Amino acid sequence: MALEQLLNALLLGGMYSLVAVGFTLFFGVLDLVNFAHGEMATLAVFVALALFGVVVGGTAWGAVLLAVLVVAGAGVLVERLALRRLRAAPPLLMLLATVGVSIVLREGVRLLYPAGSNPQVFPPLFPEGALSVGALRVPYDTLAILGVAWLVIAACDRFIRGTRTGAAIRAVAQDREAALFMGVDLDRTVAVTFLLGSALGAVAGLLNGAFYGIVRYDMGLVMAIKGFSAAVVGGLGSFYGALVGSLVLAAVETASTAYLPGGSQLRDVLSFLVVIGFLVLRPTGLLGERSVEKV
Amino acid sequence: MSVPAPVRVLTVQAAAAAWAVAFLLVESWAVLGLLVAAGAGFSIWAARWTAGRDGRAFGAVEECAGWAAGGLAVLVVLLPFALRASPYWLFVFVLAGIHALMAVGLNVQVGSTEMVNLGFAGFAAIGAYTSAVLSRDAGFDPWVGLLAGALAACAAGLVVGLPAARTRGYYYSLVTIAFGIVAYLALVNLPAVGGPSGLGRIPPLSVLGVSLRSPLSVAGFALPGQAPSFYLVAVLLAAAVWAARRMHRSEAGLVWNALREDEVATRSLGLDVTQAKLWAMGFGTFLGGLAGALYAHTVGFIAPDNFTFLHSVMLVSMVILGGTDNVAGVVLGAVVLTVIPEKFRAFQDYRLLLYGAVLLAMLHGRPQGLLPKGVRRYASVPQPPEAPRAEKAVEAGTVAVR
Repeated sequence: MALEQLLNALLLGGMYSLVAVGFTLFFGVLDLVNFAHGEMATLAVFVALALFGVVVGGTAWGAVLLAVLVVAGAGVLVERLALRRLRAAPPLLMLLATVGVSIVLREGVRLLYPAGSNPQVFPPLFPEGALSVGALRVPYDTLAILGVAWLVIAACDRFIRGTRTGAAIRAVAQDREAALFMGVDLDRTVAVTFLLGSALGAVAGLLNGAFYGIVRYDMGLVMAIKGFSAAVVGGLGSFYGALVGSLVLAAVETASTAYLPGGSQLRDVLSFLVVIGFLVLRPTGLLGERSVEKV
Repeated sequence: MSVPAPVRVLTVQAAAAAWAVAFLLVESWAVLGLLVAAGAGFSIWAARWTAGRDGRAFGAVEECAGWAAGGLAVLVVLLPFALRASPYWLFVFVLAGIHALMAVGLNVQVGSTEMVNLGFAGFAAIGAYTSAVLSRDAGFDPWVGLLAGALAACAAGLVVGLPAARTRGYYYSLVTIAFGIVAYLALVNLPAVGGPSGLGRIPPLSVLGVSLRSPLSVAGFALPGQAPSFYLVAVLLAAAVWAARRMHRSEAGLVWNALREDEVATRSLGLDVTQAKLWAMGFGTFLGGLAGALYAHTVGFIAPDNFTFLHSVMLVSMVILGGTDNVAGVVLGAVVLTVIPEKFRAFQDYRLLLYGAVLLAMLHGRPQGLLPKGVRRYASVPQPPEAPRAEKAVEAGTVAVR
């Protein structure tokens, strides 16, 4: 029982961290809270659904990978068209622009997809059945989703730590002016950040769809709020903070669902109260930098 | 150009009002297109006609503010008469007024202090539900409920504000998002207040025993049942605007602006940052709660779905598109963003999409808002007589430096 709950928490944490890492990347590089981030998950799911219909005979995985690519491109496009011009404006405006983008994308999905207002069935991507280890029963799909989520996160970490472009992202996040002096191409770095972040969001959406089997046009909003909360609990702008925050949030939710009477209804209330508590006690998050501010 | 400035201002106001009523009542898209074109041409002309002494567009409106306010009041009083054949539009204006009330409250936080509250609908919900439960189930007079609702929201604002004052920037936004969602989920999960289906049969406010939802008859004109609510909202909004301006000019208002520019600098000047933030929270949420309660009694039905995260976002966009830290601009933003989407109700399904698109277009086209915030002016400091070309010189200088 306890082991199963642990597994659930890990699974949930994996899905949250895919979204949270995106938030933390955008915040690090652009000082931006990207409210359109959740819509990337929605977009990925519905693009995949549309492709399932078109690519008859092709494997579902082809459609899924294509959907991730499409959404990564969409993320870059959103930045280019809606956000780049506002980079010099007060940060509030860019935040509002992402809200506008999110409304347009969400409504676009709802109106363009046939019967888009209704929940849609998402096919399972992983084999049925379960692995039994003693008393513990681990469904294959849980295992696979967990594996994919953490693999993608690890790959993303390798990319940010180990490549030149990753170094550029870290440099811009640390100090934009200094990075510019060092010859970092800001526009390109921001574009890569959006490519990466949106792709992560897309993977999160697809895994979410495969796990629950039902997707809705407004699923992105919930995912975004959870991912953002996780990123803040961990410390916005910190990569590992996003992971830790996701696990904390997932643990709270899993525990309250499992061990509290009526917990499944109170789950979201409790998790947000935890978020508020964290913010008040540790306003910069668990792993956020303790910045000393100067006038 | 011998027409006195007040006459010019009042003429332009009257023409703009007539244009707005025509815009609302005309249904044919071809005529609407013509109207929009005519309106655009008219406003370009009017901007120059009512230019201020310093040459700024529409500057005369500010120079004879008393006349302009009086003219606006007369137009507001006349609006129900002009719209008496279409109660629907009058109702939209009631909603616009309620939104404006909320936006004026929210502006204190988002505009003056740059505390981006993304859970404002939650505070409005507290006001609405408090007032509804008190008047419907506990038998209090709706007016008592109205006040109690505003005070309850204010109390919630202070409770959230006390810990939230420790956080800032995006972290503050997240606290408020979380609060808004907790409030929404709590309402959905509380059977005592109707759960997801909400509360109905909320009694209307009444004056001298006459319900404010009953039709009105003035000088032989039969006004629809929305008219009394419209006048009440207008009066409360005027009071709120007056109060918000007083706050803006007070020392607390000055500290708010200082906080917006630099919190650390403000603190190091020995100013009480926490107290200023609490003022912003308390004052703003009081108006939010009042507006929420007003909504409950006007419409007679409330549900959690009237107070979602999306509503909070819309309120913030009203403030920003109207003009942050400019009370008149915020009211204008709320009215425009309530009325325009209703005009597109023919495209019911596409309304939100259009809303998002308009939001994006505005952000790129006019990021400072419809009415940008002005420079603070102090009556006791004598204005320099004439320095008309100062900005031009600075501009030229900047170009030269580049």
